[in-house]
Amino acid sequence: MNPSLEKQAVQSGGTTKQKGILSRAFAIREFSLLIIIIGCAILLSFLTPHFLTVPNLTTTAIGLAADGIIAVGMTVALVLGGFDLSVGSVMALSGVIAGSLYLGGVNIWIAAGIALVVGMICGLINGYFIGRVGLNPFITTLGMMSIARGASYVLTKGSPLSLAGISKGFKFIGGGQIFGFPMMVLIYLLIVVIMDFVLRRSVVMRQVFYVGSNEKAAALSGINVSKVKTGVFFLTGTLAAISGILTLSRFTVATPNAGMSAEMRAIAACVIGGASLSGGEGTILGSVLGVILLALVNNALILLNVSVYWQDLITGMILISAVLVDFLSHRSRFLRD
Amino acid sequence: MSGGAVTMMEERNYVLEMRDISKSYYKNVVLDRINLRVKPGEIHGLLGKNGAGKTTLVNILYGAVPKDSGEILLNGRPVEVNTVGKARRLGIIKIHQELNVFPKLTVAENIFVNAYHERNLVRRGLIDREAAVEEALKLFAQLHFPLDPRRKVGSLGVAQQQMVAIARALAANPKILILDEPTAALNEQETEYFLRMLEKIQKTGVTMLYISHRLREIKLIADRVTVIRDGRDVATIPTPSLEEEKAIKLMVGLETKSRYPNLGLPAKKELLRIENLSVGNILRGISFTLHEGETLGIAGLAGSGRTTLMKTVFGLLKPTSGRIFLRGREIRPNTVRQAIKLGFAYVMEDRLAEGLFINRSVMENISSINLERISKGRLINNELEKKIAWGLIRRLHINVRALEQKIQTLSGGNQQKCLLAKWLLGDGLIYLLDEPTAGLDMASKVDIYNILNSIVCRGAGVIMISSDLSELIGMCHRILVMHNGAISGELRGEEATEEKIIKLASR
Repeated sequence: MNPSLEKQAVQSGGTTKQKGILSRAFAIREFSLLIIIIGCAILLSFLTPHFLTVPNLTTTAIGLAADGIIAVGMTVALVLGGFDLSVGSVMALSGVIAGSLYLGGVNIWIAAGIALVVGMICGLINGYFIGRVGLNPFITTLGMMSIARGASYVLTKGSPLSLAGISKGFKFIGGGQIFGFPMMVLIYLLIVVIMDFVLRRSVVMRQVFYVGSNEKAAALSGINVSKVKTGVFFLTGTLAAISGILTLSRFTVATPNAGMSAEMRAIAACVIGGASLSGGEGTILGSVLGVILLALVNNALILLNVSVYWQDLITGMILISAVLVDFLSHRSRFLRD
Repeated sequence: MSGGAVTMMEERNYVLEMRDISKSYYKNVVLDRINLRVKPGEIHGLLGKNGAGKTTLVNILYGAVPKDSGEILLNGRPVEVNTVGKARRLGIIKIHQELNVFPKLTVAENIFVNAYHERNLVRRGLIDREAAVEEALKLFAQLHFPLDPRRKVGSLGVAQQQMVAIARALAANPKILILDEPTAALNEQETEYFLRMLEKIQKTGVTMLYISHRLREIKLIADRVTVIRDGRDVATIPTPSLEEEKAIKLMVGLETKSRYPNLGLPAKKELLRIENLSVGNILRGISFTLHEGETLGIAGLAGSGRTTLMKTVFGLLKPTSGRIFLRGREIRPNTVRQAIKLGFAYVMEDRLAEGLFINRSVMENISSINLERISKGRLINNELEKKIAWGLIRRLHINVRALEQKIQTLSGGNQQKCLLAKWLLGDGLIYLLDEPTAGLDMASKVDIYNILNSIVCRGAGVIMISSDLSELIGMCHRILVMHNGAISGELRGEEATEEKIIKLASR
């Protein structure tokens, strides 16, 4: 077969032996990302006294949880070799549905349950068209993005719904605290821990890796590819709805504008965390660190009194740098032979 | 014609000479001081078995592969062809084995891909379509091609698409046109048509190098033929005096059976029986049986239906008629899952595209076929997965550093062994192997042979497609030879020779 592959094998065998523990640790994306985050945090704590304070860290953590939950689902979609552009809109739609049902007299918990089911259905519809029918994930989820956002606008007539007098219990899940830890962050961490375990250990998620790595080979190994795909988009939809309901609870306002470009932030965070758009790669921890890094940069801009309009610009630069580093390190490996 | 002196002059006047070209990949000698001399205006055949070095030789000529030593002369002058671009500027153009056309563009657009400026087909920065069509018609008139330049290439037949690729090459006025197995994707009628077209092109004075392992075609089209065996040129013969028997002998050389581990006799218990299996026109009335502990070889040229047969048995293609019996019970596998449950294992020819999860680990690649075996409930048991993977790695002598090593860092031979390991985890009954040793070095091949023998020793059956005839003869109890979708003959292992197989396969 390909002689260059064989040569590559020989060489990578040779170089790893010479590498130290540190350089091997840096080869792991999550480790280098963690170092960068810690570095940024140290730098920031010297630049401004407001950074290392409980209120600032708490607010930042709560702020990133909504995007973080969406990014967990996005990681799985990226591992599958696809992505879900509709998550931000589904997040808004679920909040809006729960809100308008509540205003229509439905118990808020039941309303939230219905909103969750709607999110699941959006995911299943995506999954059906991508997995069973075989449509392209970009087009399908782009369509769903527009549909869900449009539905949110229709339901609210474009203006936010205020849920005054909502029950304390419901407010607690998004805005409450346990021993000083915000509930929203705890729920995010719970989802992270469960999904990290499931992604590494469960049979179903292993199949997602196979499909993402080589769909044809997966099908020829007896894996039900369309079922796996459907399942993944069900998951991204469900997590988006959870994020939407938590956000509703936090602000007690259902806005049709919620989760604007959350899908893009989530994809960026996952890719910064080491997921690949070509599929078969990605970890939950990576996505968490990616979300944290982006939130940290955002926080820095606010604390340093830089206009918030810089945020998108800098996010974009970080994203391209991360991908560039990845590309260059891969390319140097190929150039050697 | 004129007198003898002129002919002598012309004899010495070669348009292309390749002198003492050598090429090795690592320790593997592919070309060994090979020589090739091509006269102007001739169609020069290159004949040889798979792996004889034909493609490497033309890739060197085409600038795609650097040579280790030797000399290339064009019209008597030494030239350095180190890049494909250089080769094109020198007028050496290759038509690839695979169709290289843009199906959604028109014929004219396909022909002038990036030559609009050179051919003055641009008016004020925009492509002048009518001018392009006229230019294409002019070219077709020269070549006597009956093609409409306005048609979308995707709507043409395969042979006509191949003609479009050739017309594009000819639009650049090449000195030497290299055709590497141009008929591999064509059926019999299409091939006839294609060869007639080539004769017309030859009349316009183009020199062609025609690579094929189809003896009949070479005899029909080529003026002279150079036979290549094990990286050397064994003979250059004018085709009229080329006898089939002699050509085959030259291609095959001395046969050696010694490198193949010998096998025991198969039991007489029937494992698989295929009755009258047909798939449209691609497979026609195939019947055979496979016994426990038997290795059955399938020989045939590319396009003879070998892979289609495998896919149909595995349930990937629906037969239009015919029946499949497993241990006497009729089966109709509809999904891959069902086929695997029934005990089928299928190692595809293209291991990168269809077999391996290239950016995943060795262990994950091996486990992929049988996740139930390594999991409890819905969770994977890591310890069990590691234990099973190591067991198979040791059993098959796969050279890996760690289970977590990505499979793309392994050599081709070790990748292939991982694929076999994966299917062994499925405990199959019937192993369908499509070119299981293609592209591997000799040591890896022998490892694969030993694995195959251990499979049949367990009482399973192996059906193996291979283009390496000595491998089929050395490994198989019986060999079925396919031609045009049907079985053209069956040979027992001891009576099979490469000559007999080639005859049956090319008829």
